[in-house]
Amino acid sequence: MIQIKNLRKDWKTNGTNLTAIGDISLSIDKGEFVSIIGPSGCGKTTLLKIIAGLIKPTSGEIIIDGNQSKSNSIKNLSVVFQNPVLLPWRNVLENVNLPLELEDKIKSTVEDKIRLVGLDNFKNHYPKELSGGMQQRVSLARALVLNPELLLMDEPFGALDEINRNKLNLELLKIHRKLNPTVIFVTHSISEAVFLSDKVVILSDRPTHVQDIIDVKLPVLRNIELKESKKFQEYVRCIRQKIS
Amino acid sequence: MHKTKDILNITLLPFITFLTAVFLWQLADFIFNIKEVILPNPLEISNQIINNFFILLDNTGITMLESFCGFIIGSISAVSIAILFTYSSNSKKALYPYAIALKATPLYALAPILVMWFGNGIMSKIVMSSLVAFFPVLVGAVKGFTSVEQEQIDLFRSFSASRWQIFKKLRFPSSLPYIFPALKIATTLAVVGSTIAEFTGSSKGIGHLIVNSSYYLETSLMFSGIIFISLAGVFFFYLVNLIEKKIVFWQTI
Repeated sequence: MIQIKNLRKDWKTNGTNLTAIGDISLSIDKGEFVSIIGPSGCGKTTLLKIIAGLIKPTSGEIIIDGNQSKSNSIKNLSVVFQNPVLLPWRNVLENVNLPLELEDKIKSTVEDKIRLVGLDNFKNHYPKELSGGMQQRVSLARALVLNPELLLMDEPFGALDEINRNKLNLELLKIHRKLNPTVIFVTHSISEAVFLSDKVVILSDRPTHVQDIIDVKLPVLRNIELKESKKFQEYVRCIRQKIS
Repeated sequence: MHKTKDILNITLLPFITFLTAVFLWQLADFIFNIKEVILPNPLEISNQIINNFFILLDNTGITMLESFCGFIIGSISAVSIAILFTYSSNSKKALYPYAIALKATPLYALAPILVMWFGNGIMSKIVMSSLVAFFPVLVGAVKGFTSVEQEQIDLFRSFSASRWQIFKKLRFPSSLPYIFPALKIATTLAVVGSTIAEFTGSSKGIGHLIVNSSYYLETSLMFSGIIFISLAGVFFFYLVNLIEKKIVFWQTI
């Protein structure tokens, strides 16, 4: 379980304090898929980076499975960024293997994870030879290769067209069912948030706090037709009203 | 079909230009009857090359050896100092402005001093050419090492990578597309550097041969020397170019 308690982040610019995150408290269950949504510039990415240990909060704490985390002490988490962030001199196999290499582990699960994201036939291709959607799949496989308990995703499909986005959403759900990591998913798209999540966290404008938390009670096995159902559209409408 | 046409355009057209230029040169020489001392014609130069082929080759070899050593020493020290600058911003602030200023000054003016300090032999030439090779590589490497994006660093840090791992697996490979163009500039500068140092004072090398033949008004031998060192310089450039294509392969995928 992840508990975020009274998290606050100030940026100091030219001597003036800018409060990016006012006060966020949140708890997330193990294996839960949680989306974070809110107006742009409200500090969603900052929140994710703090959880990842990449930046330090001004105050507040994050408790994972009862252990208070200091920056960088959270093991077993992976981040999927907005851009695929692949290394152009490495092919798919070598890119996915990077986390194992950094931990001096043998590449036992690399091929499995590449198969999982459907890139079996592209193992030896270089990033430049892949489409944007495929690159993001590689990035997902790389994030999964250490079998993380916590997967942090920062608008991972934001740059993709709708067809690719829907496809990857479905696959992400499949992967989540199979490996069951806890997922924190930052997105701009309300319908993507509803479609993927068990819980949608709505953040307010700056200084950011949690405005509302919506439990999404939709069937576990979801398909694209779900988006046309009345219940789904009610959730989307409800969240849209809360944001605006 | 398309490919053969390309090859034709790439190799044949420049070759025709070359032949035309040589022919016009020879023709002008014939019409205006220019003295060999002022401007030798292509036939006289080729005669000179045939007669002195091994002397020319020998001296070109010495100049290229000096240039190559200077190039290696200059580039390795430039990359090392760029690494220092990347990890110590204070040393960068203190030294980098001077490095950029020196890059723009004619370092060749140092040649007489270097000959005075390091003697008439190969050493002063290596120092000269490493000095002129140093600055472009430094600027390229500093740019390369800092070209890494924040997101890439975040990725490595999210996997708890050490600073050394970030350097080895991220910064260094990312810098290569910036370092190689600088190395290519350095190859030509290194050859100029050692030749100029040879002009100043030497007993061997193509610079020495050119200066020496000027004393005896052997203009065609001077021209032959210029042709040899130019070809060697071009070869050096393309060698590094070839290595670049192999190592920085991902740029041309």
